Amino acid sequence: MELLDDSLNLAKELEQEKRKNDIIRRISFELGHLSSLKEKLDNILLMLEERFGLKHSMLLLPDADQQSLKVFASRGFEAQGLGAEVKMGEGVIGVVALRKRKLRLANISRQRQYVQSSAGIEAEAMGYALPGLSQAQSQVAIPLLANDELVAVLSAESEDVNFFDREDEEFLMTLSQLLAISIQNAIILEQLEQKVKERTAALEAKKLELEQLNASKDRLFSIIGHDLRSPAASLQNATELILYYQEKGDTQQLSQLGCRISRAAHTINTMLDNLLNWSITQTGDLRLQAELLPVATLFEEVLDIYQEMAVSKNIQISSCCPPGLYLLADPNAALIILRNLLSNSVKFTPAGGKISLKAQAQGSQTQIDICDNGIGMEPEKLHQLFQLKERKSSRGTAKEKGIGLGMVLVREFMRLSQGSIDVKSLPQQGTSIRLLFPTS
Amino acid sequence: MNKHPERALGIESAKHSGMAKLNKITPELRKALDSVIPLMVCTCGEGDNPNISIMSQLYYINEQQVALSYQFMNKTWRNLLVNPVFTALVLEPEKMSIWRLRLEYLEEKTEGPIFEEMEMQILALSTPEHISFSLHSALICKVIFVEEVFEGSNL
Repeated sequence: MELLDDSLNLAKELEQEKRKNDIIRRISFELGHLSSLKEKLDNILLMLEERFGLKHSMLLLPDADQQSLKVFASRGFEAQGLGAEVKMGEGVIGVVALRKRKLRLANISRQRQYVQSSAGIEAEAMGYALPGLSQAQSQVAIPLLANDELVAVLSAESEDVNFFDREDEEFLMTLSQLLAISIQNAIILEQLEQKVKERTAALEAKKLELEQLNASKDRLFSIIGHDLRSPAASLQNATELILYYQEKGDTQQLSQLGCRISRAAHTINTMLDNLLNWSITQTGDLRLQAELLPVATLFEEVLDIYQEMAVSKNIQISSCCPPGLYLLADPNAALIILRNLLSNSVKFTPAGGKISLKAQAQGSQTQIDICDNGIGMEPEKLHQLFQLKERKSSRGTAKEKGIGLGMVLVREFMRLSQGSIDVKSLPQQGTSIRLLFPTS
Repeated sequence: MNKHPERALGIESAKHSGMAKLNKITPELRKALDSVIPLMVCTCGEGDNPNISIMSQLYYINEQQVALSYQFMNKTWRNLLVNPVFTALVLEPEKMSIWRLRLEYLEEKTEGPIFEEMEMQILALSTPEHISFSLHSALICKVIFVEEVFEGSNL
């Protein structure tokens, strides 16, 4: 009789083991699928209900700083409570997370009553908003660990006083590592996807930057190949003409050629200057030495260069600078900026026009205004003033040539000088440029 | 010295009620231990004076051993040091059956898996209420015998 009992028990145990093995096999198979974290968590709870009868369950994941846990998935509760938080070390789930040990509670309401009455406090609603059964009597909470690191907490509840037994608890522990690794994989996958997204965006940005650089480089080649050619050709043409007029003995034509040569040489010089400066700023080799510069002296230097050209175009340049006014900048940078701006004003102001150069202190800064009543710019032109683009350059009022690099340089050097530039322009009315330089 | 402290609880011995004494914890009792709150513990120290006290946990270790939670003991602890044999009464909440356990206190533990799990139970229930309960120690006890003194019934 006893033998029969024993073999019956054995058969029962064997049946149970088979059932458990079957669950483990199915769950490992299902968990093998790659899926998003949310899908994976929902799937785990679904499987635990279907195969193991856990009707009210949730999965909580710790925050990055391990200070609290958040509900990422729940099943079988009135309120899903996703995102609800519990502090590490608080309540069943918090304690399980902190200690990384499973916990099973039975007869919860009476236990809670007992704790409350022995502490002499009134029963009140639970202090945290986790999803839960209002009449929960049993709860089991399992830490899901991978390499001793807390990946998640699985919690299941029941309204029965003693729903979970030790075997359930042990079996869930057996499953726990499988679940932990599967969740961790999903988290890693999600992080990887995020990384890939970030890297792709970074690559896109880099690509755009390179494309712009490439466009700048193309523009440079085009400047060298085309824009510089015409003044150079003009020079060459002038030298041929020198020979021709010399043979003819025409001294009047010869002296007029001098002016043309001078203009062509000046254009080449300015272009080469700008090209060189621009390439220095682009390669990052530029070393600016800021010092306090007297504005009046700067004005004198640039006026000296353009006075002659202005006179030949019948343009009047006035300058006004209070004595003792200084600005802080690298001397070469300041000259490049002023030279380019004044050159533009002369270039785009027709005969009989006026240009004014004004400086004044503006708080802790020095303000320089360069205004002309020239041909001005359309808003569209103004918009791309600081961009290095193919065919941006405009002919001056006396068909002066440029390479569209001047304003790019001006802005770059103003930026490097910690200053600012503001351009206002209206077609046929003129252009006003306001520069603000630091003084300390 | 009074060697039968259960008399103080006014419960008839199994000898008279006809129920069997067992020397190990049965699965039914184990279920009762899981959900027991509170349990009564009767000790007897010097001078034949029994002391009845209420404890929060009797933790199942194995069929032969349980652990008693030491949170706020006073006289119970003094009595146990003099006389380690004592009686615990456990009520099983589903059938309301009552179990009597004759136990012998063996050693005190303030760390290790048994202590930790008992401590976690206390913390899990008290932290949400902002009560700072702690477990002083786990008292490991040997099971001398258990008997069901009231069968209870399925309602």
